[in-house]
Order: sequence, then structure tokens, then C-alpha cells
Amino acid sequence: MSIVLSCKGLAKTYGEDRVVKGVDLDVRAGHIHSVIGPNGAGKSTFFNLISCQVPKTAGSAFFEGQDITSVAPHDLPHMGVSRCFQRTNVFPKLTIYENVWAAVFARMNGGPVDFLKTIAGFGAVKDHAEEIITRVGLAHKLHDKAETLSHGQSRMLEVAVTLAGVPRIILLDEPTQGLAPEATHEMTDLIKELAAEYTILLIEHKMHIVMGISDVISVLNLGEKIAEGTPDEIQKNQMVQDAYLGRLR
Amino acid sequence: MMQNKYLLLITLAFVVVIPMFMPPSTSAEMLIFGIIAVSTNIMVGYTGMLSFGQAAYFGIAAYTAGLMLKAGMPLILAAPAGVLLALVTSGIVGYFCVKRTGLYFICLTFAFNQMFYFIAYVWTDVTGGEDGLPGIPRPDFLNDDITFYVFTAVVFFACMIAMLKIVNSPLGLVFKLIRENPNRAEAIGYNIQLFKWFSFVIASSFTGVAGTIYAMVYSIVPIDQIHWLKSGDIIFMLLFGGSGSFFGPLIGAAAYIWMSDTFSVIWARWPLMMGVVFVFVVLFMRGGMAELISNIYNRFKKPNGDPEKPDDTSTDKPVEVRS
Repeated sequence: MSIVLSCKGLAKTYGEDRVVKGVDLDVRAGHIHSVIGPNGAGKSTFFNLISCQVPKTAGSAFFEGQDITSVAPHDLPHMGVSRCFQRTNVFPKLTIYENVWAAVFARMNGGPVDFLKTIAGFGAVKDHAEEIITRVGLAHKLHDKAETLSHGQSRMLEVAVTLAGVPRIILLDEPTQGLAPEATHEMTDLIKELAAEYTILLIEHKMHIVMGISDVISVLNLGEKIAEGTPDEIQKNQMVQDAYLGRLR
Repeated sequence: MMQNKYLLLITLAFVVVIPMFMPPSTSAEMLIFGIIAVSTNIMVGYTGMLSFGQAAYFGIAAYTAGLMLKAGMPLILAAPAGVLLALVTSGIVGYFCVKRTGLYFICLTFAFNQMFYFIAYVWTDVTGGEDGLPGIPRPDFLNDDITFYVFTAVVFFACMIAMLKIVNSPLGLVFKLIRENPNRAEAIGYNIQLFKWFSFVIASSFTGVAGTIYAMVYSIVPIDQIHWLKSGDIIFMLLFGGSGSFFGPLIGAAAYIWMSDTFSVIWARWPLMMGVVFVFVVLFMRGGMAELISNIYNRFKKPNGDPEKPDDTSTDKPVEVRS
């Protein structure tokens, strides 16, 4: 399978503090590739580097051959990279429909003139937005404000907004964080279902989820990649056990 | 949308009725400040960018149109020129301002406002300096006060319909995304600096339209119309009327003009009253008059319903200004 996302020596330094120390990582098309590591391992910073949220200190990340670490954050979705945020990060005073509609429109508008037309006039955008909302199970909340959703529903809306960008790779930052067991189960099923269509790079703390759905796992510790392999290989890796899994036991 | 049509009709009724109770020039002033308040709200209420510099574009357009009319040029040239200069200036100023957020954004708008004020103040030969720019003639067809009022009303409605179309378009939705969560708006693919700039320029250009008409109301552009205190008054209109709704600022503009017209002749220190009203609104009526009216309307509409339940047809709520 071809490599769609390739990080070469990606590094981030804050003053003296080297948070990410030259990480190399290849994500193959159609894989669920998880990044795990203990607290403070640099996972979120690594994610922020790939999604242009923070400027890199060194290295690069290439998506389908294009360097994505030196583009503006708003260009990233247009290149096929969508990110789901760790903290639920939607538009609270807008409806579910408006949240997703706006994200679909960001990719599907035909140019500046479209911004001055009537919202109701974009049939294709409407259909796609409704399809995504139905897919994440929020169809019954279509015209409710996002601020009225439960935490679990907000996480689903977050995923819906991420999918609306018609991505080719999805960066999921702890999608099950703070979810009740039932909602976690629903989210895991959704991620498995999405894997059939998209390449997924996932940060997740819950080990049973990571081990159950990942094709490849990379382990970060103190800003360095210390291991990479299938869930079986990672579970058997002594270094990983020492650094992370071992501590949990 | 249906609700907007009713509110437009109510506004129309108001526009027809006010000259019966007030001099036509005061009524025209209400509509002029109505345009300014609603346009500034596109930036403040919809996009979440609090500006203390809108008087600059009002003044620039008023001076430009006033000077051209004084030079004998026709209104058809003077008015577009005033608006164009407001548009270009706000385009340049906005380019710098939108690079900053929060307090820095506010300070920049304020600083640019004062810069233009001092230019008007010292450039006495052109602007009249401290005395303002007097002797601006109206075109012959607008010499009658009632005709001038009708003309102002037509421009007012054209602006209202255009601005209503903007806030209900995808562009208006992007403005709301920026107000709600600028980082997320960027992450789904919108260039937020560009859209903030659009909001800045659109708001300032409509303010420019109001400025060109204002030049003809009393045939003078007083220097205080370009002072930052006027920008502060505009923010008062928004908060008093309610920045969470499209029509709310109109109530604020009408109330401000009515108060200044009624009380300024009785009591020289009347702005003190405005201060008290301002404190009351900020403390107890965060949504302004628009929210108060909407709550009363909802109580009558749903006498058996839950009074706390928000009105399903309202699209906006009062916002925290985040810029």
C-alpha cells in the first residue's frame, strides 16, 4: 500500500524544551495508524505540527508528496487533510445543520460569488451535510444548537464537521475522550466504518480501543518514536512495556 | 426569513410614522444612524470584532461628499466617491487591524480613528478644522425636507435589504463561525483573516453610505462626527438595541437620536443619562431592547409554554465580543 503521509525528522522546540525530537513516521493508505505514548510524550504537539496549528522547528510532513507543515492552516482541508480536535471544538450557538453545512461549503463552494448567494440554494451541499449528520446519528438534532448537545453528541458533531471537509486523511485526536462506555462503543464502531473509506491517524489513550482497531501503532516517549508495529508487536515490545504499558500494570 | 419580512414591515411602518412626531431632519438622522448601527453590527455582533473606529469612515465619507457637493459636483458623483473613499480607507486600515485580535484590535481601530480625526482637525483649509465643514448644498431635487427624508428612507431600505441578504448568505454564516470559534473556522478551511477583512470593509462601506447622506442633513459636517467618541456612541447604539439581532441596533440608533434631540436642549449634561442607561443595559439587559421585546413577544405567543424556552425562529443570541 502506498504511503500517503510521511513525516521526516519532524521536531518542535520550546526554548530549551525539545518536545518533539525528529520523528519519522509513514502512514499507509487505508490504514488506521495510531500514535500512543504516556502523558507528556509529545503526541498532541506532533499532531499540532502535522495540522499546522503550531510552527515546526525542523523537519517536514508530506501528504501525497506535498509539504503540509509550511502551508496556512486554512489551506490544509483543501489539500485533503481534516482534523478532529481533542477538546470539543464546534460552533456552539449555531445549529448542528449550520455547523456541518459550513464545513461542507468550505470545500464545495464554486468561488467568491457563491458566498453572496442564498444558503438554501446549494442543494448538493445540503444533501451532503444531511448525509453526514445522519451517519453520525444526529439527524434527530438537525436544527438544535450545538451548545445543547451532550458531550458524547458533541464528539460526534466534531467528527461530522471533520468528515464534511471531504478528506482523504483524517487526524483524530482522542475521539473517545470523556465518553461513557456506550458512547465509546459507538465512536469505535464509527471509526472502524470510516477506515473503509479514509486513511486515519489516531491519537488515543484507551489501550483496548487502540489495540482493537489499529493496523499500525507508533509509540512516542519523551518526544521520540521508540517503537512501531502491529498491535501484537507493540504489546510484546519490551521497550514499550517499560516506557508505557509496563507502568500501567 | 418570514420573521425578517415582518420586522422589515414594522421598520417600514416606523419610517412612515416618525416624521409625524419629529422634524424631518431628526427623522433622517435616525435612519442614517440606523444604517451605521446595523452595518457596524455585521462586524461587532456577527463577526465578533469590537471596533471603536467606525466614526472614521462615517467622517471620511461625509467630508468627501460634502467637499464635492460644495465644489458644485452632482450627488451622483459625490455620493459614490464618499463611499469609495470609506471603502478604500477601511480596506487599508482593516488590512492592519485584522492581523490582531482582542484588545489589540480594539486599540488599533481606536488609534486609526484618532489619526483621521487629527488630520481633519489640522487640515483646516480643506475640512474646516474645529469649525467643521459648513455650507454643503443639497441638490435641487432634495431641497425640500420631506423629499430629502423620503430619499434617505429609500437609501435606508436599500441598505437594510442588502445587509440582510449578506448576513443570511454563506458569507454571513462564515462571519458567525469566526465569532463562535475562529480556530475551528480556520481548521475547516476558511481564511479567517480574509473574512474578517471583508466584514471590516463591508461594515465601513455601509457606514460610508450613511456619511454621504449625513453631509446633506444639516448642510454641515461637524468635526465631532469623526471623533472616537462618536464611535463609542455607535457601540452604545448596538448594546442598547441588542447586538444579537439584525434589527436590534435600529432601536438603539433611534433611541440615541431621540435622547440627544430631546434632552440636549433641556440639560447640557445629558450624556450622563446615557451613561446610566448604558450601565443598566450592560448589567441587566445583556441582549438589549431586542431581547427584551423578544421575551415579551414569546410570553404572549406561548402563554402556556415554558417562558425560558428560546424562540425557535431567532437565529442569533447576544454575543461575547471576542474579535
